[in-house]
Amino acid sequence: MSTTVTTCTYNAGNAGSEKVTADLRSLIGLFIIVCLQEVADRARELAATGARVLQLDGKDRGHVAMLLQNSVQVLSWGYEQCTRRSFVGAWGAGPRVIAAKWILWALVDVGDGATLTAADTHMVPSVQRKATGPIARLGLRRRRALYRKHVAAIVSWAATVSGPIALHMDANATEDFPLLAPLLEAGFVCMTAPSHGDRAIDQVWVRDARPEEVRAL
Amino acid sequence: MNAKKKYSSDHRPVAATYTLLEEAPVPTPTPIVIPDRWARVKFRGVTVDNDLKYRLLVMERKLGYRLTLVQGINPGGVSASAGTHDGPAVDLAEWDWENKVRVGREFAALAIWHRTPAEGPWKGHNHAVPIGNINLSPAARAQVADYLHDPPRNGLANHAPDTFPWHPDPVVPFDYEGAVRDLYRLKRIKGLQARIKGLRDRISAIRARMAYTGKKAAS
Repeated sequence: MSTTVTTCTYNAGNAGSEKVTADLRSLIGLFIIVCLQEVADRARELAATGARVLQLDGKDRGHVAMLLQNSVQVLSWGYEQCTRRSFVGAWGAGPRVIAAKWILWALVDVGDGATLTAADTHMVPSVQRKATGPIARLGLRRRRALYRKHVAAIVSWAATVSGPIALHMDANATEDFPLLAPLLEAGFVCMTAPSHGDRAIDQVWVRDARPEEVRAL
Repeated sequence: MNAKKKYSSDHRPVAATYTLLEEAPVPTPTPIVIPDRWARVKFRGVTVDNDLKYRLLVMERKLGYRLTLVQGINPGGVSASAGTHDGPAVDLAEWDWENKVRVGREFAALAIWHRTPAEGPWKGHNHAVPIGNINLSPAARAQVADYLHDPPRNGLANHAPDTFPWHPDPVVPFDYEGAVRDLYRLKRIKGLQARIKGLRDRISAIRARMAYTGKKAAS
């Protein structure tokens, strides 16, 4: 028997506490799993949803978190480190030093005995921009190297996982970005919709699952 | 893009619906057909029955080489055989006779002796009679009785003592169905080994495409 699941990915951004809490409450009411990025300082907002929270702090792990409806049984969960804290320079979005990148994963029972490994990660920004000038080019090169390493780590991790995977991420790049190609080669299919202006950079990559529908809310 | 903004972030939540695919089904083993134990078949150029054929296959696996069969079921064929080959019985090439006799006795429940030219009008060979086979000729039955005699005899007209020192006691009956199933199991193992090799090749191909390879194993 096949099981159909709807999950959500969301970069929570830097709005005020009340608004973010309202966002999270709204999303966890709609979806069994909500994977979040940029939530390092959102422990209170996450707890306020009343849903199960998967998040650890320290070593930059708290930047991503997972909210699960209380009916969802978590069989196991953990973090997988992809890259270390890395200097990329002032050019581009975000800080000069990019936090260590992790995959937050959870093996969950989604009913009818079916299991799914949900995963959450946040990729390095400003990798698809044009760089003019030597400093910009150096920054872009550093960011892309980090991005490539992150993707390679995802592929390596996925190879150790059996069964369906749904990898939720803020890719900071559109699905046609060449550095994301290893995911396609590893059997992932990208599901995305315009989520950041008209750019579709918030993505759900599924493996051993058939895409049905995707939408930006 | 003029829809009213519902969420506070500059990113919009993306919801994906997908159907989980069941894991690749494990191939159902082919139902095992146990062939008629007493049916006559051609095996390595001579006629035997399935019972004797599977005993010989067990011997081949234990010995690690194909047996050369000189004579199988051969009613009224060779006078020197004195009717022992009227039913299931087999003569094997003499080469490596000590191992053949030991393995035949230990694993295939065969009453098997090494025959030398000094013992009769024949070239050297190994003569084997399947213990427990219901279709043995009277002469072959008498040979089995000789083999099981205490002390064991040589199965010839002189009923002299068997000079080969190794006799399993008690004789372990031949597990015909077990032997047939073993062949299926061997096929399955070979199939799985081929799949493992395929997966190893795929892993190597993926590794070869990696932009940053990991640490090399210490040589």
